[in-house]
Parts: sequence; C-alpha cells; structure tokens
Amino acid sequence: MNDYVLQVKNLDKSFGKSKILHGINLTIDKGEVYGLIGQNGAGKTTLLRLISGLMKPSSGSITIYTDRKFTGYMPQSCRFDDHTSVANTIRFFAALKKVDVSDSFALCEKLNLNMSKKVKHLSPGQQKKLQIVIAMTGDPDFYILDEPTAGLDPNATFEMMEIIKSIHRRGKSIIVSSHIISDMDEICTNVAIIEKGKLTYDRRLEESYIVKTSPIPSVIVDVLIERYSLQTNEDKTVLYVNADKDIVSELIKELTAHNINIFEVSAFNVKNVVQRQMKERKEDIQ
Amino acid sequence: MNVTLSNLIRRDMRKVFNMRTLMIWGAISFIAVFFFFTTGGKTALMQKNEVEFMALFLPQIIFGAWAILSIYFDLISSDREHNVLDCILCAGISKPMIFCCKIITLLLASLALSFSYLLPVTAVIVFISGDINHCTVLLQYLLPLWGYIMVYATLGIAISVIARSTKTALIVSLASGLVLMPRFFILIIDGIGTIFKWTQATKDGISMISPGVMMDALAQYSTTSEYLKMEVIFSLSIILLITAAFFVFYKQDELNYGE
Repeated sequence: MNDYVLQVKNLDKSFGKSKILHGINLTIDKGEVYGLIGQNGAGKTTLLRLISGLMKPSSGSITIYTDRKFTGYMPQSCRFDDHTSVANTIRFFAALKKVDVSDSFALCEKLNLNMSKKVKHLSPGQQKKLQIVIAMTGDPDFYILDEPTAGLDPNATFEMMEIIKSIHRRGKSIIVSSHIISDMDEICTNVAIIEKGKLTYDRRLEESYIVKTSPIPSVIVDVLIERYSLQTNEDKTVLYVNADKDIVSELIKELTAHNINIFEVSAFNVKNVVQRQMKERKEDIQ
Repeated sequence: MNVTLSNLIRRDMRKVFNMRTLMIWGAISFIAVFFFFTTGGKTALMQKNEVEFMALFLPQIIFGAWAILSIYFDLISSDREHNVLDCILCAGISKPMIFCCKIITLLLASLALSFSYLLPVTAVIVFISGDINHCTVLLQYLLPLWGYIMVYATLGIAISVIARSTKTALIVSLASGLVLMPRFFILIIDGIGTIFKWTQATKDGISMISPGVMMDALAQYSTTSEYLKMEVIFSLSIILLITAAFFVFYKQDELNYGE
C-alpha cells in the first residue's frame, strides 16, 4: 500500500505547437495539503485539470491512489442550474456518485446554506459553499481545489479556509491552487511554485528553515548533509533544513565553529518562498 | 448505471423543456392553427376533404429551424461554460455516457415536440371536418416531423459542442437557421448554381439538403423512390452530425477550447 495519493511523473502537456507544461514531477502523500502557486497563465489550472482526468497528458503519467471512483473537484468558477434548488443539486451529484446525501445535507446546515433556495438566488460566497459541498459529497479521499477563495469577500474566504482545514483534519489529501499567499500559508503543508509550465519550487513547509551562509567547503557540506539530512544549492551558500528549532540551533553552532558566516536564518513560509523566487528572477534579468 | 442514465436524462429534459421552449412551441403551435385557417387549409379541407402539406407546416418551414435550434444550442455549451460538465465528469461519469444521455434526450424531446406541434392542428382539423378519421394526420406526419426536428436538433447539438461559448452558439444557430430556411436555401443554391452553371437537376438535388424539403418528400410516402431517397439523406444527416458532435465533444479539451 502506498503512502501517497498522487504521483505525477515527467508530465508534459502541449496544445498544438505550444507547450503548456514541461516535465512536471510531484508526489502528494496521504493527508497533505499541497499548494500550487503561480501567475495567471503559468499552467496551474491545466495541471489541475490533468490531475482530475479532464485532460490527457501529452506524455508522462498521473496516478491517483484512492479507493473511490471520484475525486473532490472544485473548479475555479462553477454555476449549477439556476432554477434548481440547492438540495436537488446535491441530490443530483450524490446520485451520480451513488452515495447517500445525508452527510452533505448535514454539512449544508452546518454552513448555513439554505437548501430550499434556488441556485440563482445564492450569493457568490454561497455558490462557492455549494461547490465545496458537492466536491465533498461521497467523502472522497483526494480533493482538487482550483482557486477556492477567488472572488470571495473576507468573511466568505475565512469560512472557505475553515472548510478546507476541516477536510485536512479528517486526513484527506488536497491539492489547491491560489493567488492569495496568506491563504496558502494558513492551510498548506507543502508548496510548489509553477512558472511558465515548470515546477520551479517544491518543498514541505512544516518545520523547515533556510540558512544563508558564506560558501561552505564541500568536505563540511558532506558531513552536514549526513548529520542533518539537509539540502543545499549549487554554490553551497543556502541550506534547506527539515528539522525543528533545536536542531537548527545546533547546526548554526557547528557552522560558526567552522568559521562560516551566517547571513540569514528564516522559517519557510509561502510568502518568503515567493519573495525569494521573485528576487532570484530579478537578479537573473539584471 | 441505469440510475445514472436516468438522472442525467431527467436533468437534460428539464433543461430542454424550460420556459423558453414552452413559450416558443406554444406560439408555433398556435401559429400552425392560425396559418391553417389563413393559407387555404380550411378551404381545401371543407371543399376537397384534403389536408394540404403547406397549410400544416408553413410555420415549421418559416420558423422551424430557429424554434428547434433555440432549444438545443446550449444543451452542452452552457454546461461547459459554467464548468458543470467538469463536475459531472469528476463525479465518475464518462464522456460517452454524458453524450449518450444528450442524444436520448434529443430523441425523446424531439418526439414530444413533434407531437405537441401536430396535436392542436389535428384537433382543429377533426373538429372542423367532424371526421375522426382525420386523426391520421397526426400519425402520417408525426415521424416525418420528428425526423425533421431531429436534423435540426443534431445540428443544434453539434453547434453546442463546437461553439466556445453559449453566445457564439446562439449566433451560429441563428445564422444556420436562416441559411437552411427552405425558400432562402433554394435561392442560395439557385444563385450559386447560376454562377457555376449547374443544371436544374443538380440544383434540385442540392436543395433537398434543406430539412424542410426533405420533410415534404418524406410525408408523401406513396412516391416510394423519393421517400427512400429522403429517408437515406435524413438518416445520413443525423448520423453525420451526431458523429461530428461526439468526436469534438470527446476531444474538445485536447482541442483547447475555453482555455
């Protein structure tokens, strides 16, 4: 039995002559919330549509390891039949998934979603709630959420984040795309940055630190890698450490003992990851 | 599987028989009765005890294409535009099954529309003539009209799949309805034929592509050769349009529609 729910290997996607995705590799473990960040047109939605099976890859493979036949897919925007009530919309999707509606109805009550209301009378926030309720119908193991907070006011955004957190607490795996960095920081356990169809960054957020130093001799780096299971960049000036604060303190002491200058120690979060990426890109341009 | 099919078909039927459809087909059925009185249909019935084809179907010949296309042009495009199609696919339903449900809806709805068009005018004919045997009008024309509606319905579904948005589908439907209107279509073929020096027989042959012309021939099943020829053209039109629509529907994400 695998520990992961999704495995993407060497994924390419082209439309005609234009290549949208280039050699994407990613793995999502059970219970992880995997955040996908990227500018408009970077390929986020295409990647999510490929993962959800709505498109076929040009090359490479996508494997989803779940017991269910369906995934909890929530598109960026969705408008169900205007003249149908919330309850009937849920009933329709529950019937397609061949599951019971009682849990979905209970969730609607919890979210204060009026089930007798027609879809056309729902506010944008309520529409999004209905979308996530439908995605959650049948309790899938794996969720694909495309910009779940796009176009929502602060209250509705807060509610949506709480729903996503509750899904995560129940041990479900989620891949979510968003432009809103603070949202991603709040919910993601992993973050990936997609730029021009390439994954330029893919790392766990929890208990991760970045240590910037003066160049470290290779002999010392090898020892540190073995001792702290860390990763480093090509220049051996940046160390990526997956460990708690105490271990990072030990590492810093050891570096100092080797007369290596420490320039910066920062905790991994989405904001500094994105800032760093942007800074590196600016430096490349200059 | 059957529950899934019936759910999808019921939803599509609700979409098809919306207020817009009921109003348009209510109006066109009323116009059929009105035209029967005003185009000599009543006179022919009273004097010769005959029901004239044109007196029955003039509203279909004039407005039929638009009335039919107005029902089906957004059957798939609106689902796609609103991303409901994606949600249905992610609920574990395959594209062929969704398309199959659309076609079953098309068949059932078209038959119901054919019946709803013919019923009032047949009732009027029976009432005026006092002859219950004129109920056969409904039986005689039900299937040819069903076929006629199906040709436009499959064209509508093809437009609904190929168009990138509901708005585009509407515009293309209106234009197609205008071009395929029999009188207009015959004029277009005549004009093109004159430029390319086609014979009258060639012009007549091509003019038969217009569903209105086909229905006329189908209704006269005593002329066996014409009837069979039209049957083949009708069936081919429907099969070709359905095949084209299915191919595009199956591949449309790969064709990068809507991206």
